[in-house]
Amino acid sequence: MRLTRFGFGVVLAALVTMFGAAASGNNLLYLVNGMIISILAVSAFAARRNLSGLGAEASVSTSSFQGTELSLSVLIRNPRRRAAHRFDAAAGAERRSCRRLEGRSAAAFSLPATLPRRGRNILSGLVLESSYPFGIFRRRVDLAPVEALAFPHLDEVPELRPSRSVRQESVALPKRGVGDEFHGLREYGDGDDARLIDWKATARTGTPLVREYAHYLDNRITITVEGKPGPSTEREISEAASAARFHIDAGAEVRLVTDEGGLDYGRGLLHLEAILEKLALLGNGKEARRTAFPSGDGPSAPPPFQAPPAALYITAAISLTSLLLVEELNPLAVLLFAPLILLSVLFDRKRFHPLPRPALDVLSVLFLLYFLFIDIRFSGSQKAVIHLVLFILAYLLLLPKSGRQVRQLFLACFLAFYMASGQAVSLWYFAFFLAYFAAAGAWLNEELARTLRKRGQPGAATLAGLVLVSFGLASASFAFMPRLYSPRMQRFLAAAGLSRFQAGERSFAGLTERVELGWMGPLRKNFARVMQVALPDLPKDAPPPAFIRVRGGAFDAFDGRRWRKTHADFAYESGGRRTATRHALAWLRRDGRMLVSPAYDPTKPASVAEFIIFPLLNTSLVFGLGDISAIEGGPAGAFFDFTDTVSFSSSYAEGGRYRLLSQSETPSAFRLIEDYDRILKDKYLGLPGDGARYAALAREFAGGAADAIEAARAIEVRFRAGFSYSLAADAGRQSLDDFLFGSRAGNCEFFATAMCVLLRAAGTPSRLVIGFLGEEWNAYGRFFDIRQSDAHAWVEAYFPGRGWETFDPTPSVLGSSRAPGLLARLWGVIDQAFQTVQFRWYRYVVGFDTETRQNAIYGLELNLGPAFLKALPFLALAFGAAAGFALLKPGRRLAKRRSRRRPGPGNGAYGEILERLARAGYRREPWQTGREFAAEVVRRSQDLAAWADLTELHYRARFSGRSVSASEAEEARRLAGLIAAALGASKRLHSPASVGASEYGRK
Amino acid sequence: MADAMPDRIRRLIENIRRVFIGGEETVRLAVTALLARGHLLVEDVPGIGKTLLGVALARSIDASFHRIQFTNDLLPSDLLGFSRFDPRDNTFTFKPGPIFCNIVLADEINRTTPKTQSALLEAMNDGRVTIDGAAYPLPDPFLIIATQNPVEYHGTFPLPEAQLDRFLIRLEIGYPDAGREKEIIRGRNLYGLAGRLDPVLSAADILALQVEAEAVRVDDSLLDYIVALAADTRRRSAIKLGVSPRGALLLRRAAQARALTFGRDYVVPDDIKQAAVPVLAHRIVVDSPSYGLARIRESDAVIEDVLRGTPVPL
Repeated sequence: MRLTRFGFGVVLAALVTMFGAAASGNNLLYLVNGMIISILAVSAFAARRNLSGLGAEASVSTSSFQGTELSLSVLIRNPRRRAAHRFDAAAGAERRSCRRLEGRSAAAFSLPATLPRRGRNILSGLVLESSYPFGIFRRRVDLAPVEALAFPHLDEVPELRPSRSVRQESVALPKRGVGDEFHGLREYGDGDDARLIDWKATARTGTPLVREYAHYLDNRITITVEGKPGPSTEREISEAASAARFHIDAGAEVRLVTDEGGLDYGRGLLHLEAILEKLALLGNGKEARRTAFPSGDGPSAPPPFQAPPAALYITAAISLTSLLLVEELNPLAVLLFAPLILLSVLFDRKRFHPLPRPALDVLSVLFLLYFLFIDIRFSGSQKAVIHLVLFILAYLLLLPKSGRQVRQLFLACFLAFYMASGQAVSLWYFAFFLAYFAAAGAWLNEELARTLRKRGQPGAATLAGLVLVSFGLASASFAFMPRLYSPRMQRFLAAAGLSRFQAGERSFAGLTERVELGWMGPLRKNFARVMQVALPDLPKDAPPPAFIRVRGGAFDAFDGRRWRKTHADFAYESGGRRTATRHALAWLRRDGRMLVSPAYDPTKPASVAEFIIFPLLNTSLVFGLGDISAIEGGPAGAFFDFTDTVSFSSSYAEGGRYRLLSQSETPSAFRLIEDYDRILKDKYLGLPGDGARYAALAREFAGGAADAIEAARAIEVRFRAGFSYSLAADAGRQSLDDFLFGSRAGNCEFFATAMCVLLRAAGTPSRLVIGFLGEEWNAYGRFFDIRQSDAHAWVEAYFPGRGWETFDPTPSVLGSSRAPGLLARLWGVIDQAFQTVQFRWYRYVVGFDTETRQNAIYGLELNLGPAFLKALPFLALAFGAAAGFALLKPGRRLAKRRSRRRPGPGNGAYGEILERLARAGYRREPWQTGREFAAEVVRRSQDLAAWADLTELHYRARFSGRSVSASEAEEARRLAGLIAAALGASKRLHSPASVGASEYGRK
Repeated sequence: MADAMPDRIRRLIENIRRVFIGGEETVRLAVTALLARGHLLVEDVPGIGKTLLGVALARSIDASFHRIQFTNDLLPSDLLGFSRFDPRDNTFTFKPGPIFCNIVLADEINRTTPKTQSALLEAMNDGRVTIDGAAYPLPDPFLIIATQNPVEYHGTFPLPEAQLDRFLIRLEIGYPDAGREKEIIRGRNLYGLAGRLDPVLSAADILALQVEAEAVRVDDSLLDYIVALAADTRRRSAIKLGVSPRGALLLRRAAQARALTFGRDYVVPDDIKQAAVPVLAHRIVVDSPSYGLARIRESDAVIEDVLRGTPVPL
């Protein structure tokens, strides 16, 4: 079994995707790679199984002459239950193809062959070849060589020439009554022809006399030839054979004399055959020598495409449309190419390609120049590459589709899809994934195309099984392929525009300077991991907290659209001394290995959290759970500012790792700041625009709260319950007032901003805090997995005497639409389900990596262990039932054929039973008469003997022209009942054992 | 008559089989040829009872029988008869040849010159013999059982294919099975027995049965089937010359006669199928250089292939 050229390309594609996947960490590429690998595996397996077990017999039907074409009949037997698909019987350059050979049947082919030399030839080189199912592997089975005897080459002998080897004798044999030479007279006897009577002689003698004629035979030929190998032996033998034929055709008696024995005089075609055989085996004709079939031009050239299959256009369309998934690309650029596909179909149908090749080549050069010098610079390398791929697709679509163009088009479609895989994250990708592989598979395998078009085709079950197995293998490959992670490679690929983890616009790092309303929505789609938070104090068996709130930084100034952090110098107490900030930064003191906050008390207990920050987060914030009291590890130097935001002195582009000690839930460093009230008043109460509306709304939300903190809690509850959380794109474009007074739906920064504004309007100092809300606990590694999509915004409000308290007004669930009504609510449920699936897609497929896998397996062991064992017998039963059903159903469907023609008038019972028999596995072949079929049925099962009688009754009804009598009808029904009972009793499956139908044709 | 018919023909066949060693199918085909007013060509090796068949058949229907051994010096006049010149009266009197009887066994017809062959064939065709301007009708019923030895072509004049279609049915008898062969060599004098067989039917009965055979019902779908078979033979590339409409007509007649031998007055598809090879195989010309026994096998195989490729009405 060997890879075809196309198969080699597929292997290359697998390697490329594997490299791309490993380097970029892009899980969708792992998915694509897994699919390609599984297709390779399934192809190899199917290709091997397709031809295994087939038997072949080749024979030469007639005797033949050296150099003339004879017909080699090859009988391929398929003794297995399953069919064999799309194979060729090939002898050198000649091939005959068979699309499908049913199980337990045979197909006959006839191939032309030429015997090159006189005598015994052994024709070898007969093969069965198949590149089923997808043209990736070609399996070749050598068939046993065929021996054939070649008679010497016959020439036309123009005239009778006596030669050294041909000698002629003549013998005179008088034949009575026929001839032209007068022989003599004799008496008339009974039976003589009256015309022969010689009247003159009769008159003379008085007795009837007849003339007798004689015919001289000079047709005795002796042919002498020697078989010893010599320079002119072949020519002499050929001459001898030609002479023999000439003379035998003339009716002579021919004798053969050779140095290896001879043949006595004989006449007629049979004698000629004997002579030819003797001449054939003369000399070195006796040795059987192997000759191979004359080979054609190497391995069979792929057939030229007459009209490209519809799958071609569909695959191109799918690849093109999948590029829409790449968000960075302008959808228009993709949709502009849609009419191209229609144009391509039109051109191919009409076989009219108006664009001359040179013009397209010039266009290509122009585009290449544009790509290299303008597009890369202008659109960025990532978009430019996609533009290039689009151009290649367009170019190939508009050209006439010869074999090479079609292959290139296939590759171009794959490239486009690969690009889309590299940069898509949406759940819709999965649909495109399935569609692409289905269309590409249909392109490669016509049967798959036909199966997809209409089900119920024979072999549909096989192909469906193939498809399922492919997906299963792909999933397994996806799950178990090791994930590598190299930061350097990440950066390289990010620069090339191929990395999903690109430090693009939408990253948390962009939020550290400012938060803009509507900014955080797109962050939901970035599933890059940013950090892991471990809780080393957590006992081993204790459950982790449901979520952790990782605080990043806080903002004080809001201008109606954007939050900023202002700079403020302040003085604070640190280590007993009064320290002032420089450039608004308050540096943390170094204490041994730790950096400590001024509020840190080494005597008091602290909870510990370990942070591992991944590269590409590119921020210098110190993240913490609760108050940041002390930091261990991390780059040298950290500072805090008046918003209780702590930052390192440099960003950890290479990733960072530090331990955090926390001595209180909420920030406490502010307590040491002098004149804090002034800061509170200046910084944390500013409102955009007119605050009256907000104050009124705050009062309304607060209801009848007793004090400020209760009012704040009431407002929080009001937001959580009365507003809805929405990821919709336009929800990010609304203004704060739209959100508060209009839609009441938006993302977390809207909620946090709104609550902040309301609290400020009510006189409570408050600030916006951004960070992450981590919910994904990795039980195996025992840490929280935090991704970009977990970014969150909430509120801290200051209450005198209590300090800063945390509030989170964002509703925790995705709310349904506000509009009432059953349909709207149904839609809301569907939408919610879709969102859930989407999240799971993001988390477990797009964001899959080693930790996820380990966690999943660990989780399986841990949670499902005992439950799994309990459920195991049921699972095994269910699996067995499903497998059994799957095996039988295709078998039964295979046995079902088209409905028979209804029988003639008078006997409906016959037709019914015929159908039932067919379903039970007794199929009548179209060329079988009713009686022949009945005989076979009874032979196979004695219980069905009544069928023979029913057939006879049917015959009588059908062909005698007489109507059925009542007693006959009654008898028919009775017999039908007997047969039905016998069929019902034994539900065994009978496979048809007759030589079934098979399609074959010339290539 | 309808009820007596199956019995009679069955008894006829049984009667013949008492002395003839071949299978029932062979006898049935012979009777079919007789009832369909056709002639029989047996291509088979010597020594398997062709004469016995003829004798038994003739005796069973109380008809006359002649066996003519064709040699290569046989003249037409030896076959048909001749006008004898009587010198006393100076007149010619016609002496009928051995062909003037109900059942004629023309043995090894390929051994004789084409001239004599054509005399025989013309007689078969015309139903009468013309000698010296006078026409002498052949008896009724009239059946010629001609034989050819397909293996040995040594010094023979095999009937050209164009002439073969004068025969309605071509069959092979084949060797008997072990049991029957044992019976034969046990040594009963089959020839003597054959000569002493009691007739089961009379010649007049045969004539009546021949008329009935023409009247056997053939369903339209079966006519379509016959036409489809003929069309297929003309379409195939392996067949140089397919079945002519006359051949299709003869197949129908043979199927009708065959149905009658089973006692039915209607044709069923099996009749056509089983009659197809004997009736059609020698009517086609296969595109193959082989000859002799191989050619016969090929023709049979091709017709069988045609049968396999044509759907049968149900």
